[in-house]
Amino acid sequence: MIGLLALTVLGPLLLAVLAWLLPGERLARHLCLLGALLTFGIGGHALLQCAAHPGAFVLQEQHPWSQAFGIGFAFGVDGIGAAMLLLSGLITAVATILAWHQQDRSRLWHALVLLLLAGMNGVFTALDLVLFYVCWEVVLLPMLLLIGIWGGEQRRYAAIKFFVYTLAGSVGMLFLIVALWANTEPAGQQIALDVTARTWLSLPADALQMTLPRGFDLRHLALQWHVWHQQTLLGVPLSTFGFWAVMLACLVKVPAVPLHTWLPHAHVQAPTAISVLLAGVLLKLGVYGLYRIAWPLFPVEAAAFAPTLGWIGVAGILWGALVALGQTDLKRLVAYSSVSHMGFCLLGLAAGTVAGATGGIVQAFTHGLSSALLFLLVGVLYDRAHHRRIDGFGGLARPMPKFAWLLLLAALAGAGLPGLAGFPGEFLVLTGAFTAGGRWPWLGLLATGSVVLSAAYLLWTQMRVAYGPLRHPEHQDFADCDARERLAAAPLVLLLLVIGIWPGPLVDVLRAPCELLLHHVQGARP
Amino acid sequence: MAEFGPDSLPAYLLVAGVLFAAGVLAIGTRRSAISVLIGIELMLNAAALQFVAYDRFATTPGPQGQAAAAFVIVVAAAEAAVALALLFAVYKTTRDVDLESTRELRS
Amino acid sequence: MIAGTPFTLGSPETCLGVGLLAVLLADMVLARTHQQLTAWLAVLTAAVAMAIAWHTPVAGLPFGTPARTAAIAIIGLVLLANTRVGEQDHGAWSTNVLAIGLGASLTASAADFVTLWLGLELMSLPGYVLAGWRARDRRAAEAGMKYVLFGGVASALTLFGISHLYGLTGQLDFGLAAPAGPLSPTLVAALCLSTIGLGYKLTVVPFHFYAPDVYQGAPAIAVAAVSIAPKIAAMAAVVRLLTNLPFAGADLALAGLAIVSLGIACFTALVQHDARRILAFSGIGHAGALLLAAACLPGQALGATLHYLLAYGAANLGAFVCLWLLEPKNGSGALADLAGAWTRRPGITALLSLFLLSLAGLPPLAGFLAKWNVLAMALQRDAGVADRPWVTWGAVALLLSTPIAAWAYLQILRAAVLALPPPETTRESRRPDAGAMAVLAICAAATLGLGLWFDAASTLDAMAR
Repeated sequence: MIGLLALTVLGPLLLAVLAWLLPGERLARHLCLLGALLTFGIGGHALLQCAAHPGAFVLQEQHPWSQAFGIGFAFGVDGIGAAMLLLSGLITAVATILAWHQQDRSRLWHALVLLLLAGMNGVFTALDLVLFYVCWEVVLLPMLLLIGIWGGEQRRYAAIKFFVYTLAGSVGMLFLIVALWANTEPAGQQIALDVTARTWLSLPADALQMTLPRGFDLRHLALQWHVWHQQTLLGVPLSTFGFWAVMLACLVKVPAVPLHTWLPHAHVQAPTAISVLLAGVLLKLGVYGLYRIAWPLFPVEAAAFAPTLGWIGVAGILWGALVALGQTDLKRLVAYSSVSHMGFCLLGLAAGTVAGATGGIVQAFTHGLSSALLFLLVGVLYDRAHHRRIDGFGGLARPMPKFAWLLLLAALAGAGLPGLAGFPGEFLVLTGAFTAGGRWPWLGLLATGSVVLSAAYLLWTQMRVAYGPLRHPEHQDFADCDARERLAAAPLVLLLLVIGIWPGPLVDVLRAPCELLLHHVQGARP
Repeated sequence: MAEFGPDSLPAYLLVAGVLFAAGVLAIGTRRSAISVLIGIELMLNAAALQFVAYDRFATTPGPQGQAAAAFVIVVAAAEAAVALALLFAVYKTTRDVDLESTRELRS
Repeated sequence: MIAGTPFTLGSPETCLGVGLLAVLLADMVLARTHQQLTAWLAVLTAAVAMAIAWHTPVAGLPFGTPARTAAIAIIGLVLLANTRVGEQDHGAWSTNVLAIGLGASLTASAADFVTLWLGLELMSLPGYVLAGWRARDRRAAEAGMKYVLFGGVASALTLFGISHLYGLTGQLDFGLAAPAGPLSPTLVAALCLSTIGLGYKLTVVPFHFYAPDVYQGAPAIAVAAVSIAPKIAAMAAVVRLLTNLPFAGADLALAGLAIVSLGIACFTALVQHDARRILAFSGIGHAGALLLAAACLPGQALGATLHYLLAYGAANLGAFVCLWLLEPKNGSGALADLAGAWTRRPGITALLSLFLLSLAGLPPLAGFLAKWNVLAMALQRDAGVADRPWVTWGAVALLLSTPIAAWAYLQILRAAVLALPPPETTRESRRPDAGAMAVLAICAAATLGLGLWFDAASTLDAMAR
């Protein structure tokens, strides 16, 4: 029987086929919206379940795939996965509404968006490393076509660059996956269970020992971390090699400085709805991979690398903010602000405190909302003016008051104003860094500086675009955001406000899995 | 191994070696496709000669070497026929079978 | 003493030979209006031969049975894809394609060097003819000429090596050709010479140089005929050679060749501007991966090799049939001539993308699982498997070549899917008929099925053991 989480993958897949093959453009976009809302609903249900069972994996299901390699269609989410699933459904719905009047080959468009959704959902819900990897790669194809067919002037180059960049990042992960299999005992591995293991595996409190079968269950692989530590591959410890392979794959996606160079290009060339998806969900795949694969499977290497990752995070935060200050193209500006904000996720995870790790994932979630809103608004402007130069606008608040309000809200949320959703994540990350001891407060201090910078570039942009005298008289006729655009923005605005005012429930749901993760990492000694 | 004489294994091998070397030389130095084809035929015949020679001087002469030689003769003839047909096709389009100047296909 | 399969009336070779003659006869006897019959007679012959091959085990080589069946199946699909009379002199076309099948079948079941050489020649000769099929086209004629001359040299070198093997050991059987104990240098040299023909058919570096030119100049459907079935048959012969004639350092030699092939193929593919040249270099790279699988023998590598052959065969055949249907009628495979394929034939272009992504090794397609299986064999450390650093390096090369090769495949996709059609013309291309569509459907089903069926390799391994 197919469970709810499998449905989030198979449902969109099936809908994608239907949307492409059945005639009717209207049907296709309705199917696309259906897939997104289905994901959103199941994600919300999973979040409620996670709140009831802190730290455990809920909605688990397992269907056999390979006997020879021990691979299964295994699904299950903890708080992190459930939140990401919800985000994926929400952002896809927003993107679908944005592209509601997609004219050119719209059936293909919606089919590809659904395929993308299936891939993203698969990554967020997979409990099997091979399934995770397959979904991770499946995401590439729809992105290639969505950017390459409907993008801007240099769309083909940008699409292929994105594809090959991320593929090159992830081949090491494939090597790692096979090497993990080759280095496990065919008979299975006997391990002692601690409280983390029992929660992960949903075992009763009196379970003390277990034989882990040979296979790819993520939790089983994580609990065998010491095996990877002892084996070598071409003279390198398998765990060292594997950690770097996963880090490379994830840091390219995040994207972390200096592996971020594909992002501005892809963003600038992508159509608006795809930019929304890219910033809103796809970047989160990288962060999710760090939380789900790199840290659990290779805790010793992770702990050793954490300070460097902290610096990479801070470098991204500052570099992204500084470069964003100098941008003249609105989309590039938002793209670099993404680089900056995603740096907080890395810093939070690296700091090794519960507050930091929780903050990192909260930041990933809320950045999904605020960057999606920013890209949406840039798209609104581009629709009307057919360019994105900041100095080509000015005083738009007069013809477009609703737009100006939305832009102000998005800018303030992006800048991390208390009371909006950008705040809790950054606050928790900084708290995590300041309480981590050692050099971490310095990193926190540097990151705090970027809050000023991001306030500067976002609000300065807001000022130049929306306020002041109307610089171009022809802009007087610009229509304000229409009902469809407002409908697309509404859920984002709502969540930005709700999470900003009342972050408690979300933070609680995300804290439990982060606590377990850090317990696992800190309990691992070589 | 028998000592060197007109009817000894080394003599046959020497002839085969010379034929083979001539074939390799033709392939390596000539630009005309016809010469290359002749070189190939020389090499094939060198191999056929070796088969019969080895068979004749084996401790237990069997049919294998002779059978192989017969196959070689038949296949060499077929190969020459196909090759000549293709060379003729090239000649019809370009009036030339110079390997250096036939360079339509490239990256 | 001949150790191979005894020649019987019930063998697939007999069936193919008889069918081939029947097609030739029918072509002469039948009126011009009934020429269609010859095409279907050829398809029928291949189908019957496939059924016979499936039920007739190859003596001494369990791997040969599925390999031979697969090679004949590919030949049958090539025939099925091109049943429309009019473009070709159909009887002659079908005869030549069937002859390749006959050669492939013979090669896959060969147990001695002369039979192997005969099988290789029997695959080559009709291949030369097919490559130069549109003889009035300069490029096809040139492709045929290059193919026959390079092939002739390879064949002559192979035969020269075999004659020395015979002289040195007095034997021609694979296993008996090697005396017990370490091999003498002259014997090693003779062995190396006598495997050149196999390398040529597999398009392994350094015997690959003809492939890009032939693939570019020959008609796409002819390339489908000469590029896949011979590779499958040659791999069967490689497996038999390695099983009967195990020598120390085989894994080193094979992995070395694999690394060189993978490296050269992926980098050279980057600078090509012709879809078929890109596919030629792809074939060279895949041959390298196949040798890497062979370097892992024994163990479960038989299943991995077979799966790789099937995955490569399905995707490659599908890609060439798609290109054949998309190309303008003058047979140019230039990337510029593919522009706008998506607007003209979206379905076939989508299938082409599927096949190319499978060749690139993207999950969940067959090419990915094939790569996975080879990696699993190369990295496995079960009891009884010695440490083989070279094979591990081969696995590293296989992975590093993946994104680079993907870039090359994406150039085809870019031209076919992303590029805008040239404004002036709607290009004339072939209309796909039911046969071609059936072939594409089979290839697509195999590409998806062999990718999702994760236990395929172990099932195939049980079959090939």
